[in-house]
Amino acid sequence: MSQFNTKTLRIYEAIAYESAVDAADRDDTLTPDELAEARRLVAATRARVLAKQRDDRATRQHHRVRPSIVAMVRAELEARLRWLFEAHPDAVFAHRDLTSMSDDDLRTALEDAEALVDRLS
Amino acid sequence: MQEGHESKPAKRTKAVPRDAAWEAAYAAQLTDALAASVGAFAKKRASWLEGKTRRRDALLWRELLQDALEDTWTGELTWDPKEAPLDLHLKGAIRSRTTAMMKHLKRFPRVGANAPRGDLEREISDALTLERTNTPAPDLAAYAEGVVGTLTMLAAGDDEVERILECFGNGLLDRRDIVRETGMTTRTYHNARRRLMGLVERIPDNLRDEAIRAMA
Repeated sequence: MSQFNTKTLRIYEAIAYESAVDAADRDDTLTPDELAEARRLVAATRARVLAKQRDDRATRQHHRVRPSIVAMVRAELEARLRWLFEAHPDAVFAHRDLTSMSDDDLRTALEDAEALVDRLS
Repeated sequence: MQEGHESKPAKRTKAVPRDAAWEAAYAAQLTDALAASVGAFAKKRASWLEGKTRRRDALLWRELLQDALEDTWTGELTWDPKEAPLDLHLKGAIRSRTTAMMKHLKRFPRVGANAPRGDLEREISDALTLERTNTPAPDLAAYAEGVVGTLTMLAAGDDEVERILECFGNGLLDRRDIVRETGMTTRTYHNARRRLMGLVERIPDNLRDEAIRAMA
């Protein structure tokens, strides 16, 4: 058996890489099942990242938002924020469109607003 | 043009803060398109590692992809979203891993991508001992020499392709380095590369058998 010399290995590895680069650009390298598997693996990883982000947001909010606001449901949050906007028309809030915000984001926004009112009063 | 595909091997270098912004960038780039591209890359790399033998590990490409994703998420592999797209980083990681596997292999047993990296040679040795007593192991070294020898023959007379192969042999892999070394224009390089890959496609699948027979 011959020695696997360095130069041969380098050339072999390089053309293997170039071959893989070309394969990545083609639609026919993976079978439909393999494509589904690749997508599943990537989606599973993405789900883990998103779950961690949710957990982190919940933890941050738990430490930052006062318990009375954490306990509020959406309707209460929206009502309180509308009241604050009307009571303080000159105050500048980063978000005024409440409909597109999640419940957690609404709680954070309300906490920020209450804290601002507290400082101003 | 292959402008977007020159990735450097994944490396553990400076620490990149894996904060909320990093996580957001990671999640945003984990798309179906990335899955298709990196999956295809992994499958092709796995096939070259297997030397196009009949002994094909159907799970190897999957393990390469999963390990690259996992190791990037855990921080085992450093990814800086500012330096490279995730697609290129993952391909670089897969490339590094399979290159390391090639370098360790003198004879080729069934080796999974998740073999303990520190004990890879011991595992290969154990597998060789077992396989030698059962079935003949495919020989990646002989196959690689056959491939490179055949390619050299097919490229004879095509000066630009021969120069690219020479660059590969001297460790120059990046397009920019090859263009600089050879004095080719970028267009000339891409045309020569296309011809080279055309020659690669002409290498017969039964080369392994022929290469081994020729060396017997």
